[in-house]
Amino acid sequence: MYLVDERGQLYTLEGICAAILVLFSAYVVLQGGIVPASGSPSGTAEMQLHQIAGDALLMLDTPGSADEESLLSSFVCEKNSTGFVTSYDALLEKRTGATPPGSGLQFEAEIWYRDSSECLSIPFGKSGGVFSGNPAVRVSRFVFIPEHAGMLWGERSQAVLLEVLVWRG
Amino acid sequence: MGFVVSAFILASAIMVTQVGFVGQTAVEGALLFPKEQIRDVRALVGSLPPEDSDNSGIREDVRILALARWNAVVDYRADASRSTSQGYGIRRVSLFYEDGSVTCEEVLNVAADS
Repeated sequence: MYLVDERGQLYTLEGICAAILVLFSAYVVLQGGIVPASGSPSGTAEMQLHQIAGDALLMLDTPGSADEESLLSSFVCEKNSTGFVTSYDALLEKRTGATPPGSGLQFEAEIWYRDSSECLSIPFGKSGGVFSGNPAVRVSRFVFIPEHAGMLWGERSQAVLLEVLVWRG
Repeated sequence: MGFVVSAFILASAIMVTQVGFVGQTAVEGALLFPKEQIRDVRALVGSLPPEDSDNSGIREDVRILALARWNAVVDYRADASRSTSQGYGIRRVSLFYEDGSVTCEEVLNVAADS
């Protein structure tokens, strides 16, 4: 008799509302908590590939001593695409020994240069593999060519852009 | 009382869900920064021989090639080298990089023959 009155109904209503709110909070947390940590897995793999390819190109462009020319610029100046392919391939294949050799990284290089206000390119060698359909990444590096080099695109000293497309074969 | 507490829990829950997105935006910003391109131009300008440091042909090469291949406006200006009181040469180089989302400007002091 004493328990059934208006106040008791209000408490019940409050309890039900609070329960619904708590359930909704749980839903918000569980639903919004699933945030992709660092992009998709394939994006991470591409980023790693980009890092390897860029590092290998940077290593090739690092001279042995301060007054020496880097391997990369001597290859470009002498248009030695065979030498470039061999050295770049060797750098890409460097392993700690924990993984089997022959990771199958393939690449194709070209040199972009300026002719008056036009941008032209010539191929600069590629590895043996064919394009497999895996996503490819592009790394590039500016190379300075001194005046006397006697390149096909003019005698002046200039900067050309070496671009390498790298993919997993 | 129970209603007030549950409303507070809901507000906290909404805040917690936003934390992840804040981190993601910051990481994306750091990853998308074109550090390799900027380092590349910096390395090129730093390695130019003194007689070519202000060569307008090379500047034009960098500008046209970066615009065509990187979709970025890149320019640099290299001042004439001057010798410091310690006797070695120094050259001031200004770099500019802009690719639509990132604008970067920096001034470097490059060692040069005095």
